[in-house]
Amino acid sequence: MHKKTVNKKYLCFTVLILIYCVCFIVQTLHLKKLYPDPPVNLVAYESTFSTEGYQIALANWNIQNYSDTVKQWPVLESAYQDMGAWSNPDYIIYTDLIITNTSAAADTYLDITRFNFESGSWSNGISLDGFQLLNPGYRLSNVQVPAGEQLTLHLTCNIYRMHFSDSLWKNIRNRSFGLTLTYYPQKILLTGEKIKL
Amino acid sequence: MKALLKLEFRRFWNNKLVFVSLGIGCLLSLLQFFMIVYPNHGAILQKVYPVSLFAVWMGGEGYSVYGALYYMAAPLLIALPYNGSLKEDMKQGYLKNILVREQKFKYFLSKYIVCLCSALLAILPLVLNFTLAGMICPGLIPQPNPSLFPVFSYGLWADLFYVHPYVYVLLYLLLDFFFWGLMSTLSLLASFFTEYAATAKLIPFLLQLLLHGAHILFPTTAASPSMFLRPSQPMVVSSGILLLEISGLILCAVVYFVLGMKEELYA
Repeated sequence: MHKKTVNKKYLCFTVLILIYCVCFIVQTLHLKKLYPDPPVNLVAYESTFSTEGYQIALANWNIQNYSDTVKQWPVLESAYQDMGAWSNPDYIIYTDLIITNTSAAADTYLDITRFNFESGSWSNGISLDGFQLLNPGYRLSNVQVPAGEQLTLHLTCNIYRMHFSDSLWKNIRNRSFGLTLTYYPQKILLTGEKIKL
Repeated sequence: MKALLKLEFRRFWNNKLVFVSLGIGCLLSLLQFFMIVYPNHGAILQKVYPVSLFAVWMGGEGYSVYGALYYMAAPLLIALPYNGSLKEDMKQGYLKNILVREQKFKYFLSKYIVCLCSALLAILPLVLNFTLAGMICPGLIPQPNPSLFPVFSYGLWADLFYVHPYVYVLLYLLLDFFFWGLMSTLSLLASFFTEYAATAKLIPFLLQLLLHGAHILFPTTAASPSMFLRPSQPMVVSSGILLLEISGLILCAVVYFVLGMKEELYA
């Protein structure tokens, strides 16, 4: 009876591929151990996130179109002048960020430039112009909260149609938005609300 | 049909140019790995996030010359070993011999399938690069931050990328495979009209250059496959343009089968 023989060349190749696959799996698992996915800490709207020395919470969350926003806060209008194609965001997120310094002795200094508004694959930073107009005297990169005091900052963020694909834009009202404080080693996301028109 | 397919696949794999093509692809893949991925070993980006596999592998980054070159040259690498075989069969009389024993349609279909599958030659170096990068950079779930990851919310399957990145990469590799495969089959159609096998092999690459030229002239169309087939999506193609290009390639396949049935073209 004819006996089927295995070509040595193919056998060696298969063994090499298998060894490579095992190395890949072992190394990937090892890296996953060293750098685990950041656990997501979802902080509900108007709930407080506490960390060493201070607490943060969102309040007065509002997403509305450009004209309604400038009607409500006329001071913001100048932020969108002379910006060419970027002059009219389709929606603007407005929220209050309440920072409470829980330490009785030391002032808290926060860099909030890394805070990002996000929704699924979309994200955008805090509007710098809006921040300066709504919070005169404060700087995004160095917000000082005196010991034992509470500070309320007014933040805005622009949402442009061109940042979304057609399919995502169709369902824009069903998307959840939030403000991310940190990405790693823990993701802290203060949740906001959906667009209501 | 099965025997014919087996024979054509054997002709494909026994071709030394397969290894030349794979070698060039793997070389670019390794260059990208050593120049772009490896230096990021253990790096924490902007003090906020470790460098993730999904942002540095050849398909995931949109800034290095290696990735750009690879995606530009892919149709040529795919076409190199096998795409001139129909023209060679016509010239050498092999086609007449085989049609004595097999149905025309089966022969042309088997050629088409092997040509379509030859896109694997461009996928394997990408898989090699992805797995090598996976052994250096952790496969952390991407975060929607423009400074960390290149896929934006106006891109194709953007939401999927930030939830199931492995599925996203797999889907993109499948899209690349089918698109490059369809492009590669253009050589078969071209074989009816050209004198030399080398010309037929060049046709997919010429189409790539043509579409890239159209993209440069009209950037908003993002018609260049070398751009929209990259998972990092340096240019986002509209679904209309993508469907138009795929429909055009499928139409070419139909023309190829119709012409294949007309014996006077190669008898």
